Amino acid sequence: MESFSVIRFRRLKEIVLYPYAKVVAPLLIVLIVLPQFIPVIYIFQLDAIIIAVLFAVSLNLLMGYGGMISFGHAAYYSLAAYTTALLFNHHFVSFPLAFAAGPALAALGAAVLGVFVVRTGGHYFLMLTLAFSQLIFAVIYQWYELTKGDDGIAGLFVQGLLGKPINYYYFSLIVVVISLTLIYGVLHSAFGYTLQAIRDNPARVEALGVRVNRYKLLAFVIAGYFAGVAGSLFAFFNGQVSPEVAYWTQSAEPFMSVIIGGINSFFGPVLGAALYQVIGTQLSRVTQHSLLITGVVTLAVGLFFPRGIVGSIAELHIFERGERRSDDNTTADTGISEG
Amino acid sequence: MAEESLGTSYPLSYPLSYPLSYTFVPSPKISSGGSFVELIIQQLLSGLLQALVLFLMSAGLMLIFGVSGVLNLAHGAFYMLGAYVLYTVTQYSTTPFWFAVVVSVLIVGCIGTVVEVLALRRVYTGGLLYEALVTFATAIIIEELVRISWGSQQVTVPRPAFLGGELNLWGVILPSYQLVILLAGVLVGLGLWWILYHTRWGVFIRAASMDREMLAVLGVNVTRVFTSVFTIGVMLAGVAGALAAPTLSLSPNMGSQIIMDAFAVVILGGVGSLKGSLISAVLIGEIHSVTLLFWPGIGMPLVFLLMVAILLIRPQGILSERQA
Amino acid sequence: MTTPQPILELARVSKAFGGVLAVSEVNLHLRRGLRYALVGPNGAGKSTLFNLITGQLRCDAGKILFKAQPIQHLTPDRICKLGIARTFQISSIFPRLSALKNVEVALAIHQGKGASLMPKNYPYRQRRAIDLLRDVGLHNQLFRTVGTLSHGEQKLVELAVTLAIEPALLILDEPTAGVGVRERWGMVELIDRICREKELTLMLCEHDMGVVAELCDWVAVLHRGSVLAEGTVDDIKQEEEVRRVYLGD
Repeated sequence: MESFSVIRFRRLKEIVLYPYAKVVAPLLIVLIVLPQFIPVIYIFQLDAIIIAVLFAVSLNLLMGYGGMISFGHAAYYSLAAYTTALLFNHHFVSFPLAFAAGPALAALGAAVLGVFVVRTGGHYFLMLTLAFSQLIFAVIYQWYELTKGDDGIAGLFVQGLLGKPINYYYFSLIVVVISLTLIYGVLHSAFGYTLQAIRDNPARVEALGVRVNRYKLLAFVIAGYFAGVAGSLFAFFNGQVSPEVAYWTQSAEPFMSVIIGGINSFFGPVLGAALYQVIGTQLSRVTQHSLLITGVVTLAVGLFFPRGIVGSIAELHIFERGERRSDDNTTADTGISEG
Repeated sequence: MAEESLGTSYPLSYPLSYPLSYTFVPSPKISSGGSFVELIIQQLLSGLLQALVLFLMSAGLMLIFGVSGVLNLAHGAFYMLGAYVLYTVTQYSTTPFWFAVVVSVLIVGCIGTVVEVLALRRVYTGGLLYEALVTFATAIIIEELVRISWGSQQVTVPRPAFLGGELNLWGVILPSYQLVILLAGVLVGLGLWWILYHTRWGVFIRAASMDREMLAVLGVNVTRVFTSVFTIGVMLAGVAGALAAPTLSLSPNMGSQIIMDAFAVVILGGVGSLKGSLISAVLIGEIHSVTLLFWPGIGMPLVFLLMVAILLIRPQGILSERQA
Repeated sequence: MTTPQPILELARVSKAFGGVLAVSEVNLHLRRGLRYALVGPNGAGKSTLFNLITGQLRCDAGKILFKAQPIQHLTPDRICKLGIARTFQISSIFPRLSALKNVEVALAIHQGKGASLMPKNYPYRQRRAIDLLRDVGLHNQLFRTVGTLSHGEQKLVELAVTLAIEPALLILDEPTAGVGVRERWGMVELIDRICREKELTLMLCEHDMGVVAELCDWVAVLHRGSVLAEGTVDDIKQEEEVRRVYLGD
């Protein structure tokens, strides 16, 4: 009986990691090698995609795993972007420091808001997070002395090695991959599963002896932090920041990416963000009204494919798995329903 | 980066504007020899008008929320539609002003019904995520359509000629149009109250807000109730927008700016309490208006703090009798 | 020889909702190791009583003592840590996680590692979870998403979850409700075995008197919020009042 359990564990690890390894490793190789051969304009696109991926995954931590539907994620993205921009440009702080300060401030903002907001849920949580993000937008727009309002902050160029787009791309790739790995680790730790349990049945978790709000707060802060990492990456990627990064359409991006990709999985939002970015860029070449079209598409996906793309595929798969005979010990959730 | 960057994330390539106040830019005109007190009174009155517009809009939001359980994130967008449709109607026809308002409201109502039937209906049972998704996507779509149709620049609606005068009340000058809005707002508010408490439909609505399932069991056509509630709620937003339009410069960001205050009214006043939302609308309107004198821009953070405070201290709102 | 302290004691516990007295001056003593049943028609106050014991509701009056400590003012998580575990009428588990994860989460929380971001202890936890699931007979369903399990299997998962926190007192809210006839006796046998093996005190509420007869030593009949009668199953069956209440003589 002892050995039975140990075998289960080893196989569990294998079974969980294996499909990801199959997909992720080749993808990483492509992402590393490809930029050597393509024109700069596509490197920009790739960079935009991976930043958006991180942003979307950070939101999914909150929504898909934490069950907290939030519309104000741009708040942390913009807090970080502006912090980094201001420190770098106006106060001549070095790049590493400025870059690190962004997410730190974003996490702080998330902590401050989170303390008050995690004890609410559902509609009130939604209203407050959205209101907070609008508040950040208003403050950025109006506090001209600090943020230069509508003019934005330009000239965010890193000197030296990271000044070249392809090098900055590799930098972004490293940062994003590390971040995603960390997030994955968090979501599959004891904390991550407790968080999912809270999402599924907070009363039961509370009855088991847990201060639910603390977990939600931690999840909130972690999500805000990584949204901030994306924001700081964006600041230098874009060369400038302006109040739009705090507007609610900026919150819509990761939200729609998560919906398109599927809220019930880790990699769904990755796919969703990539699709969203690519389609968006292509659309904006053709028309000025790409946001409209993506809005309509997201609406359609939400109405007709509520599980998103990855979700819909997984659903078929899981359905099949769930129906399999129960004495098949080799079946394992590959993390899709487990998160 | 040394080379030219790709630019901002692709959709946001238009300028955003942010007028200090989303309803009125008060003109602090004081009659000769005016005092500080008169300035305050001026602001208070102006705030009252802001409050009324906010109240009308929030009443609609609360109606939809209380009855269908849906938080209509597109509510600000319908407010904006009301304003823009009025603008177009007054631009291209010479109908009397009040008629233009009515037409605008009806058009907004039709759009609302279409949205409800096509999109919203499917998500009543879907849970918060899909409801938020549908209403949010609707908001974005409407905002973009407005941007496409009317451009990103601010436009203004000409004040109706016969209402262009001013009234001088005890040394305080008030544009008479603002009084008209006050009157119209009060009328609509009273009408709403009357409908809710003195008609059969109103009884259904109030019952539905308390127990949806029971209503279905009683044989009432709940689908139709939800549709009518959404339409009426959205029309209230449209009225607010249409009435406020001649006093503002319209921009496609109007909707997203007012929605936060609408949330605040719902949270502060409590869901289901018309009186509560009136009081909180007045409170918020005055906060915005008065702080404009001392510290412009502090209004919004203040309102936000108020929202958070109420949720901590008295989550069911100031006057609501419901459980939180 | 002194009588051992009752593990759970309710003294004049009352709870009202609005004007309705749901629980009225209830007195109960549960001795360690024994099995108690709470029976009564619907609306008699059984679930309310359970909620009062486990802290979901606050008593209006009276005292609840667990191992001689007052617990009536404690929050559910504290009560849980003291050693009372409970299942719910409608299985209260985590539908989107697998059965294994459901139990692992409970174990992690019980070990105080609920917030841990480190993978330490994980093999131990997993082994223990597998053992618990095997105890309830679900070792073939470890990786199934709980939401896809049958109603009876979900109840078993819930049982495993409650056992994970190593309670001294197990409270089961209608454990055989909605469970098919075939599974029902399996469940009874399972509960019997588990209580014996882990030396648990059991309190359950039930509608099926056959289950009660098979499983329990002592029955309290609840009617309109107060204890109508108490005794062994046979005693209760004889009671005039009880028959009247149940059969409406």
